Amino acid sequence: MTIARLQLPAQIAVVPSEKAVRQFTQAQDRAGSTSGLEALITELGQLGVAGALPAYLEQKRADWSMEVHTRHHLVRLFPTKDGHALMIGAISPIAFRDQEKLARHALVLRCPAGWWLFPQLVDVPRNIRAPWPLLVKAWTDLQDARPPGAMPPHHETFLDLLTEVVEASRDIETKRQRDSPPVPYRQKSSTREERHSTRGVYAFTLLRPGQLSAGSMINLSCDENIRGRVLAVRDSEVVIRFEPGVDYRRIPEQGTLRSLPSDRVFRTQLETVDALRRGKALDPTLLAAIVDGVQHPYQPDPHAQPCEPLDEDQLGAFRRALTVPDQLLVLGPPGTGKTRTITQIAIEAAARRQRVLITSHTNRAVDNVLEKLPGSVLAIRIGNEDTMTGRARRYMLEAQVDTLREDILAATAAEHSRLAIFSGPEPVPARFLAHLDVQLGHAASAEAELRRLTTASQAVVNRVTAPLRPQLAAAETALAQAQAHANRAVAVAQFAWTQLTDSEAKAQAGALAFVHRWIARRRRQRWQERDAAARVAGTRAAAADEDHGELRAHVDALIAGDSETHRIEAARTATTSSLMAASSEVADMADQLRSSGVGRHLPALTSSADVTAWQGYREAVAQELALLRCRAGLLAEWRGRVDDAASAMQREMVRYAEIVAATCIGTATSGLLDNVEFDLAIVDEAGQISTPNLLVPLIRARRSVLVGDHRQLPPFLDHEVESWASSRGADTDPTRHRVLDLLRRSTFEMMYGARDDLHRVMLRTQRRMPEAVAEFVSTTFYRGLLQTVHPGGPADPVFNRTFAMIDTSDRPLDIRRERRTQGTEPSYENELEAALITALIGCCVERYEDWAVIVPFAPQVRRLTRLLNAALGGADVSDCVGTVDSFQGGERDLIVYGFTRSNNAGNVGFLKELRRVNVAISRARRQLVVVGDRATLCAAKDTGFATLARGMVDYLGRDNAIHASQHIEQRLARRPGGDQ
Amino acid sequence: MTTWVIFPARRAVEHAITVPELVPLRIFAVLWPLWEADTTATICDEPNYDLIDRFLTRAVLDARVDRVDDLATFLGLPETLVRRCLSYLSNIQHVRLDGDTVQVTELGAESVRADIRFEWKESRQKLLIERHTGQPLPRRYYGGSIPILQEPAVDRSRTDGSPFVPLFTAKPFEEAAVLQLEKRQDRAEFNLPRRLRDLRVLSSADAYLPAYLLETDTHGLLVYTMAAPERDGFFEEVCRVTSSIGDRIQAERRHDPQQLWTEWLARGRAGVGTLRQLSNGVWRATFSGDAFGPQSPHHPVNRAGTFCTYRNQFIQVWCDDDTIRRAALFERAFLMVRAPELATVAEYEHRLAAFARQLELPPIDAQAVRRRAIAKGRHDLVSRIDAL
Repeated sequence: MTIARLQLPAQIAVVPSEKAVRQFTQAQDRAGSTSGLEALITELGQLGVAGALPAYLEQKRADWSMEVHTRHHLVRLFPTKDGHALMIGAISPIAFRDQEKLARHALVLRCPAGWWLFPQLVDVPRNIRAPWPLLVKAWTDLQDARPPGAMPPHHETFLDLLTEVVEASRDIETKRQRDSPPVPYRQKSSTREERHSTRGVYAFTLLRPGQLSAGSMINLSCDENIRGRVLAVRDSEVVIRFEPGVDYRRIPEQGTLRSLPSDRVFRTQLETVDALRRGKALDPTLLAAIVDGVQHPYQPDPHAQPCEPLDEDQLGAFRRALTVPDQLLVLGPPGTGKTRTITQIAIEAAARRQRVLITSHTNRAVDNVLEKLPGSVLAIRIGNEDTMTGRARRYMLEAQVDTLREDILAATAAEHSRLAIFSGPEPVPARFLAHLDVQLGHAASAEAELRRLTTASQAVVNRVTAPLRPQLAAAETALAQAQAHANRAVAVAQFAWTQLTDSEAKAQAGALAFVHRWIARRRRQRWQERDAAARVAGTRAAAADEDHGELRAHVDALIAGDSETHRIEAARTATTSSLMAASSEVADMADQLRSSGVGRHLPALTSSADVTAWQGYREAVAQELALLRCRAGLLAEWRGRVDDAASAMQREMVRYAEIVAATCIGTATSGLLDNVEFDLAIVDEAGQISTPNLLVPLIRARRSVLVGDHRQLPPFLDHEVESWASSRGADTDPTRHRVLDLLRRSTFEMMYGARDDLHRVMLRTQRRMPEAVAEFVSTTFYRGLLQTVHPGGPADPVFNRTFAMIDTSDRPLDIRRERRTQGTEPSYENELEAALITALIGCCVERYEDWAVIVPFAPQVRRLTRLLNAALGGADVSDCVGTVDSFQGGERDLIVYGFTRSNNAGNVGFLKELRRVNVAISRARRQLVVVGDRATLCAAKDTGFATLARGMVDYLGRDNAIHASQHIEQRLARRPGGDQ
Repeated sequence: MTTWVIFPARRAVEHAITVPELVPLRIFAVLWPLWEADTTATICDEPNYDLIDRFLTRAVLDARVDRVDDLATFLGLPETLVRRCLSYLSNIQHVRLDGDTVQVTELGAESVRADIRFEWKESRQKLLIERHTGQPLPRRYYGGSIPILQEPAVDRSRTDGSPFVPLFTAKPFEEAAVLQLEKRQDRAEFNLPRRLRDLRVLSSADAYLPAYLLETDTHGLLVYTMAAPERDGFFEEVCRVTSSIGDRIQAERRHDPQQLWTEWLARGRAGVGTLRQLSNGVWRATFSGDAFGPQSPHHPVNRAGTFCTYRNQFIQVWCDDDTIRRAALFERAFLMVRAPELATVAEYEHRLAAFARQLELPPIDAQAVRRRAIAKGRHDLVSRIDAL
């Protein structure tokens, strides 16, 4: 419902047409209503003033008309030619369905100046103008308006195409699986397969080999509830892991298995597209980046340092990856250290508290990076345990949680038993505390007793001294008086002496000396008198003191002689020693506690009887014991929960993990990542991932780094899907090309060309291939930008060049030609090439640590495997012979590539997929030998391939590295197998 | 399997005719306009604790182990894991880290006591607002089984073919109605969490709820939606206070039933039927038994006793032959048992009884349905009945 509110400021004049008037009157009559046209216009006016008048405009050819809705009527209005008024063309009763139009688009009009009815056009004042232009403009704007935040249409188209592609792929796959016939088996057995859970794993012997593939879901035809997943296929034997609860006895001895169409992958892709549609991608720039090539400027971190050394380009990628806000593309040709770069980026991002997702299309690629992470990083692997590599299994969430649980129980066992005494019904600590309390009780009561004794002692004194008190008091008073008197007398005498000496001194000299002599004489006299008085007073004071002393001694003797005093003293002694005993007991207990380690941080206690201090100590001990009890309980609970809480811990581990590794589809299908948001997604082998698969992890991350090489293998494209796309829609339909593009090119390839230098990095230094190989690869596929750092090494003595070719065109056509094999699709083998390669390997194998033979066709693979098995004395060479797909991402010391096609028509078939040639020859670490028919290859009908072939021939020719096959055959024959 | 956006119109009619003291006259299939307000607020989420987070917090708070290395030793966890967990707890403000010392915050302590890991977080949520009145919709409209459409159009393969008309209202979106919710104590009734702050509206978009409106003889409206097992009281109240809805319905010309149904019969190919109006106002078209059968041009057997709609009016398709009606009753019983919201035998039999009354037949019980299901080889239904 797109509504625009429009204010029409001026008065609006309406003039009814005759037809309208007629219609209206008739309708009103029929309805038995008496209100006239004026009432209708008044109603229009009221709605307009209220700003609630809905209007709908239509254009027929060049003519506009407008419908306004009142409570009961629909009024159709037309512009008048003079532009002053609106003509009422028709008035009809409103039908319920009329709302539907308004629901799509509507103008809601506000007309503050009202609607005015005029009987005829001429009556309309000339100064009124109909608001027609305003209405038309508002209406057209409305049509163009998009709801805010809506997706631009070309993004919607892109998502629609993606949906179509995914649905078509799903339908083709489902049909294929449904059409495939049930697979009969003649025997079932139990297996020795490694078990990771309680689900049954059983083996079945098929009547005919090759009809089931690993990873597919199957069920039994006789009971569709018995389902399982194929773990492995070995010729006629198929190993299946069944869903939980399957009873072995219910599986018949012979029967048939059906492949179940699994649309899990497609469902995930569709959910991803839906999430993008609803704007739920965590990276808001994603769609615009892919569809429009939008890139946001930023600063790479100039100071970031990796843990391991990186070369210049790797460092550039590293520094950009840490701060790029949208998407960074890293082009990593063979041997340029992609895994190393990815690992360093992941480690540093994790150190910066970012949550990192490492993902790729295949389990192998994901596990590759995982295995190189240091142990200090918290990394978990999420996915189906069957398809992970062995070493990656220990990163599996379940495995890590199990290990953690075991470790926790082991690590806490000792403390748990140590603390065990603090919990339980009659814990030792409680008894300790009780005993402490008892001692403190003793001490307190001893102290109280001592105080009582002191009081009692005082009572005795009072009793005994009571009768003698007045005498005592009198003696004390007399003594005090006498002493005071004596003191006064001494002071007076002292004063007299001072005066005397003063006068005598003055009498020695001076004019008035004789006066002073006279005064001195009188003063001498006075002093003598005073001195004598003082002596008397002193004697009297001494006597009073003696009296008092005698009286006191008498009282004391009375007290001491009192019997009660004895008793009190005895009690006092006993109580004091009891107090001492309690205090030393407490001190002992404190020591014990401290030395047991429990009371480590409790205050020390002296043995002095400070009961208050002891109370404080007791409180501290009680608290400490309570704490230990609490800890004991918590630890026991923790251990108990750890033992049985696997899924809660799994959720938590995902939350705390710094790095999560999963395949693209795996990020969505494992429920564990449902609410997890990643700060950074690093995608490996991005050149091999189709857009629907790539989007699955990217919508879960805020920003991403895509590492890949679109000059190596492209995304897998099912040929049926390709033919659907090629014939989809009309020949002229422009989206046909877009759909094909979406299928054939990875997102990486689509985006790489348009990225600026901040958003794309090429790793230009390769360390794997010998220079001779790398130079060719660089020129042919990387515009000469690839450089080599390689220790070098001796070339194979048969060829003397690290990159050489065996050319079979020296043989007649019937010897060197290919042979087409039977089958639904054309495939080829080549006897001569196979023989040559076998001889070559037989001769050279000892010189190399590892080797591989890569050929484009399955029949040639089989032929070579047979021949090589025989030639190498029965050793299993299945890991060393295959098509390019088996060796992607790997490397070998010796690579032998056999082109296989040889005919006189220049047919090279799917050799024209040049990227596969790139992958094949760039696996070589020390030596590359290609085997082929130069004539056929250089004359290929496919110009791209022909150019490559000619380029290679020229390149090798310049270096004399092309050897005729007969020549090589002879040379190989001369050297016995295993010689130097 | 496509899920229907709303039950067929006849179900609404079937219920409406049982409402006492009123007669339903016409039925209108509508798309009720709503606002879907995209809001954000700081809410207190109440997830359960996992394991390590709970015990780490308790170890700090209760057992007073407050140093990182001590925590690692006490719980037997690797120190890196402890730090990651503490970092997480610190982000949700349950703990404070000061170097290597950990302190539990108020929120953390509260969480431990309640054993719920309270987490204040920004949460975005879409709230539904009724467009005529600006009222927020109660909780029951937010269930996953209630389809809310984003466009004023409905995929016909997901309905019984009734023409759904979107209701129009010019009223603009008013933020205030949403923001008021923050102050309401009963906001949980409107699908907001109990603890919430700073409710803000980011944007508003259109949304539509399919519904049936039944016009009654007393000029009232009954409303039926997927949110209510019987009548939808919330929307009936909206109709009561919003006159424009009733106006629009009344403005729609009412065809004379006799003429309408005669015309309808003439169009149909399933033989001749007789029309009559029942005492409760409902019109009925009676066909003979041989007009019913599994293939066209016959009426399907399960149509006997139920309603067909045409031009907003409805008529009960009838057959005087009891066996046909009984067969229809059982077919409906088979359909009913699959309803996901059905939980007990008592409920089932209650519904069966209502339908039996509509068909003027004696009620049947679950056992009778079960026997019939066995006879017809419908074992899936048998197990469903047993599960009730």
